[in-house]
Amino acid sequence: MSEPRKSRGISVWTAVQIAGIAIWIAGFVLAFYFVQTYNKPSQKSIANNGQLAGLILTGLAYLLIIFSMVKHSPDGRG
Amino acid sequence: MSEVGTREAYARLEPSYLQRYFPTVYTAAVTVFLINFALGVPTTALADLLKYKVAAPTALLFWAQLAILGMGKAIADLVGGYFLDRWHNGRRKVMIVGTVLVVIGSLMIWTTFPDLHQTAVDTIRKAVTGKKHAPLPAFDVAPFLLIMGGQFLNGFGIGMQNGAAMVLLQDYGGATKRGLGASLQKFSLYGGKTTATYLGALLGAVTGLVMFPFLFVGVLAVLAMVLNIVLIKDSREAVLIPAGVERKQPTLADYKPAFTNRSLYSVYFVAFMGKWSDSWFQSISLLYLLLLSYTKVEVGAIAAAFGVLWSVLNAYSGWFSDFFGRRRLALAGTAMGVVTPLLFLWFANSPKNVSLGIALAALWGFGTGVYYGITEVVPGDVARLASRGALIGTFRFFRDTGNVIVPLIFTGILLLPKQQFGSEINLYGLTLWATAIMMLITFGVVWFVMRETFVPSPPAEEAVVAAPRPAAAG
Repeated sequence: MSEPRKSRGISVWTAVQIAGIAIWIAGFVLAFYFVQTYNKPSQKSIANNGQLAGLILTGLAYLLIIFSMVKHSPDGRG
Repeated sequence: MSEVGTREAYARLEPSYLQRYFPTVYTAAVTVFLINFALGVPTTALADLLKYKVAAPTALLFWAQLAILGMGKAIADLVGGYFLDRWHNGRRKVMIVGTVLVVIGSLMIWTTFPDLHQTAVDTIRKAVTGKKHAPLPAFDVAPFLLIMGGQFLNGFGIGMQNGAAMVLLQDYGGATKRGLGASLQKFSLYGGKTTATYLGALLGAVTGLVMFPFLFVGVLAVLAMVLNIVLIKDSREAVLIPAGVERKQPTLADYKPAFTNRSLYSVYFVAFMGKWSDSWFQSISLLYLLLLSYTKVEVGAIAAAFGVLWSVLNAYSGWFSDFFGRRRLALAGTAMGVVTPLLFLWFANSPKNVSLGIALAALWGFGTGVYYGITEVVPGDVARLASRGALIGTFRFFRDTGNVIVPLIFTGILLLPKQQFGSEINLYGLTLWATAIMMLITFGVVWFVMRETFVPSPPAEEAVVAAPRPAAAG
């Protein structure tokens, strides 16, 4: 797969990288928000679902980040 | 001036093979993530089981839970590194053997008590610690030995898998993207571990069965093993051998740079401090912040901020060092490492403020990621291509001793007489002073001892090793 842009601005893969990091961090924030907010024993299943959603988000973000790292990886100045 | 490995890579290799071997590269990263995620899922129930169900003597508890795993990993660093260079298809074989060992190890542990429910362990604990003080059952030796053996194999397996993936990804990084190759492995490793540590408890506890997490580890390890078998193409056979690199058994001479190269022993120190910071957040920060009246969730969020930023930066520091140089990033990261523990100490002595704690832990994680990500590329720069596995394995061995030494140092500090330092809280503060001082020494070592091991553009005269470039190594 070729890199869409090389000269100016940020490329699609750079944007994907940034989105991946944002999703990665959002996954953790989401999980902690649910655990903190729904902390009563009766709300355990809501907290668990929130944590699971966070876990899935971080997993997807990981796959996206390393995919774009390899696909958009300019050569060292060699 | 760059190191021999860098010069040899410029002379023999193409700028990079990462995109050409994308399926292998992606698979190597993903299997590292899978294995480290699986073994990172908290297994706190194991401690209770060993203490109350197996009734293991206290002196053996620490060994069965953690130390034996760390020992297995450190030995695997050396053994795996040797076989990476010695075996035909060594990178591929060591990765596969690593995942097979984790499958066996985790299933050995699971088979000890596959149907035991957490409530059964809770009942024994309550009886033993309750008012009636019921006696512990007799020491059950057979399951204890199975658990010890399983933990050793898990550590040995994960050490082989992680080490082989690091070397393979650096091979495919070619002449100019070794740092990116290392970053792929580092981000996968710490990304998996961090995700599991802070978000994975849910998966471990889903059935209520004490040993279920180990079955979960086994299943993920089988998946990683199948991916390795189907998709991993050995990097030395695919890239290095066609470029004229000899295939030979490592000799003592191959290990010599591990003890004589000034840049290498500088980064042993730098990497050791990465383990130090990680260990501080995984153990000391939890106790310290609880003493300061933070709740468990708040403590978890602060510690996770360190882990999340550290793991993300591991994705970039090695990669960026392909452009800015390894030494510059090591200097920047260690300089941050001097300041951030002291800022954290200031936060700890200030009125309660969770957001500030998260921000400072994230800053600490950022700085640690900046210097830690470059450490494993330096042995790749120093080593000759034919002995890259041996030298990276030796580096990993020295670095991983930090997993054992650092907790001992922290324990030593916390055992100092409280009266002399005012209170227990002050002793925890002392661990932060110790961290800052150690980081200052590390900064000095990088400044005065370490040399740059990679030049982003090769001067013509540096191509000292005459060798034909590979024709079409695809």
